[in-house]
Amino acid sequence: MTTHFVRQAVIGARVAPATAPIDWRRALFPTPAMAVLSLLLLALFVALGWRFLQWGVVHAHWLGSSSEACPGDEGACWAFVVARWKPLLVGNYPSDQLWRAWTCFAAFALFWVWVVRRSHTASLQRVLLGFILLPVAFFLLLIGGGPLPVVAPTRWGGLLLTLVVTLATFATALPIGLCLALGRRSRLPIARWLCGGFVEGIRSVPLLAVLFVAATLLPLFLPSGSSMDLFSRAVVAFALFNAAMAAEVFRGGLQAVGRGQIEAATTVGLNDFAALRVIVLPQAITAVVPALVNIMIAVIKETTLLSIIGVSDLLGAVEIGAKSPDWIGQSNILTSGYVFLAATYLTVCYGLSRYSRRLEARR
Amino acid sequence: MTAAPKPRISRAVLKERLPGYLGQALLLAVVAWLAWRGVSNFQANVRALHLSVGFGFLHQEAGFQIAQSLIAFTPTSTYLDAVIAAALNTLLVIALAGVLSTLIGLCIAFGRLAPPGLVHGASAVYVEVFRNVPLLLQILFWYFSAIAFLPGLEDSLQIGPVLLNNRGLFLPGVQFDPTIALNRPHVEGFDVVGGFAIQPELIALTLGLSIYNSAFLAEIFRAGILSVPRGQIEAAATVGLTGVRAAVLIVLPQALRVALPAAGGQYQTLAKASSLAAAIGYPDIMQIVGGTVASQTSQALEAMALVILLYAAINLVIALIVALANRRLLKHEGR
Repeated sequence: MTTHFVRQAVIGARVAPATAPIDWRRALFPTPAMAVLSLLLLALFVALGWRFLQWGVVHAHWLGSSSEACPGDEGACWAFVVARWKPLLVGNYPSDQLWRAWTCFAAFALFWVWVVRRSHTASLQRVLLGFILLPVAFFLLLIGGGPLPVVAPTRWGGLLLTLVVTLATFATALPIGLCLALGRRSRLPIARWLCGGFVEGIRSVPLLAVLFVAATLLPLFLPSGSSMDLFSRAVVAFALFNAAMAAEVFRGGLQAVGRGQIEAATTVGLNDFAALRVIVLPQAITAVVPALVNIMIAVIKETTLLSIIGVSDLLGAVEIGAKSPDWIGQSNILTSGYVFLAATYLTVCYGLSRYSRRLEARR
Repeated sequence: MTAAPKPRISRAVLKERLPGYLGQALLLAVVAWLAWRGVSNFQANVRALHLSVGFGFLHQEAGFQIAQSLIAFTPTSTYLDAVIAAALNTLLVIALAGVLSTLIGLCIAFGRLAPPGLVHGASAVYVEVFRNVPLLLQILFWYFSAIAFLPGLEDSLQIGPVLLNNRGLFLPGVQFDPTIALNRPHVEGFDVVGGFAIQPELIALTLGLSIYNSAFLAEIFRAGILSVPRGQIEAAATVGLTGVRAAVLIVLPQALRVALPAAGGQYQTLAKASSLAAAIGYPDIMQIVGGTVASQTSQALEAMALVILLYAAINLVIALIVALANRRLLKHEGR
């Protein structure tokens, strides 16, 4: 007689659980209160969507060279955006030198495609290096000198200026922020106090105040002969302000690297600097990449403040356009410009935030 | 670092610490040199431009008008009064936007936690749209575009005793003289008489700040609510608490504990962002002190120093309030 302790008959495969189609009635109206809310929202959406469709598409004016193309405020004045495409893209950049601006846009587009498409095992160093070298190259190309005629930054504007300021801010704020974060965590008391004081001081002040200081006060602190144009002063303000923001992000990244890592590095004979360079920084920076993308989103949104101190970024270009003799006088034209800008910023920033979330999920 | 057994630092320790000491001395020297250069440049420039320095100007007559002020302010008031009026205006818009953004943020947070459907989708779209469009653009839109859609003076919207037109929102005020009565605003000629007027600038700024920050607060509150264990809601249901009562009595207090530090940071951001008032001419600290006072007195250094101090003080107060509230919440947990 044999005793089986192991089951011999094979159990038949179970039927896969049925995937029910979404029960829309339950999803939309689980309780009477939700049903009322849903219906109200639906009515609101239909009304707003219909109104927007009427304004933005049906009654919109697409072509024309002056405000006469857009009579009344029944429909959007996209003609304003279409006719002023050049100031919106490059500001007052001289027409015969425009290839320099196009080169910058194309180079950035290629760079960005490479950044997003590269395999995620590829080294981060090249990306960071690109973010530092690209703005320098753009600045040199755009301002000219030598064989190229000089184009002062006062003639840059629109999307070009927004792009250059964003990149320049990123390229300067990240290294300064990293130094501040390291200084704040250093054993040396004076470095710790100076860095901590700077970061906390800047963080308690609005960016607009920093920009006002750079625009109105900074010249008083420079030698009387020297002159620094408004564009450079604005970039300095952006760099310092965002360096303080980046410092907090890097501090988080540095704290995320376990103490054991540093002790292990010391055990194998690395000195402080080598341990930082080979062990701590690569881990810390990789950990904060999604947060750095969020800083970039914040910088893109902050660049709109430039229009307040009189540097014409994308928002400034729209405002200058709506005040130009051809287009002045109708709030509808300005509204069309604002809606166009809102759609542009929304696309860019939403895309970046999705990218940031993807990076976070991939870790 | 192990402390040396004797007060005399041994050679090895000194060798290890020396680069640090030298580096710090160098850093201090560079910072001191920069500060000294800045100050000497400043003094030279002030002499060359014949500018005056010091805060003496605060007691001079300001000579300008402030459109909306919580204290009595006339052109004969001093610059100090102007600074106080501006600071109060900033506090007013921070308080209004703070309350409004919290309420909207809570609604959107609960909306995003609803089962998939219209409410859930609409809340998600709200968050993504309003936090990805620059705040300044939103404020300008409310000020220049939305206010333009409001009716003119002669056909003002009347909602109960409240009057709304493109000159602002007019709330009924309480009249004490000669008898206590409700002072209803009404159109008289080319003006609105009576009641309490809220300027379009304040409406646009409050709307912009509230909506922009509510999108961020909604995400913070949602994270807080998600951190409350499911068992808590089930336990609440067991003892008969459901729906709004469970949300307010059980979920929110626990969610707040997680959300409060982040929300506090967001309130500080809101306070700083209120300086965008300068773009639409709402008389706040930035606009009055950093703009009008600085340009009228040509004492930009003193004016900007005041601006920075005031914002830093406001930030500090918000941090203190949040810390106190946090302590209170944690005390409840300990019981």
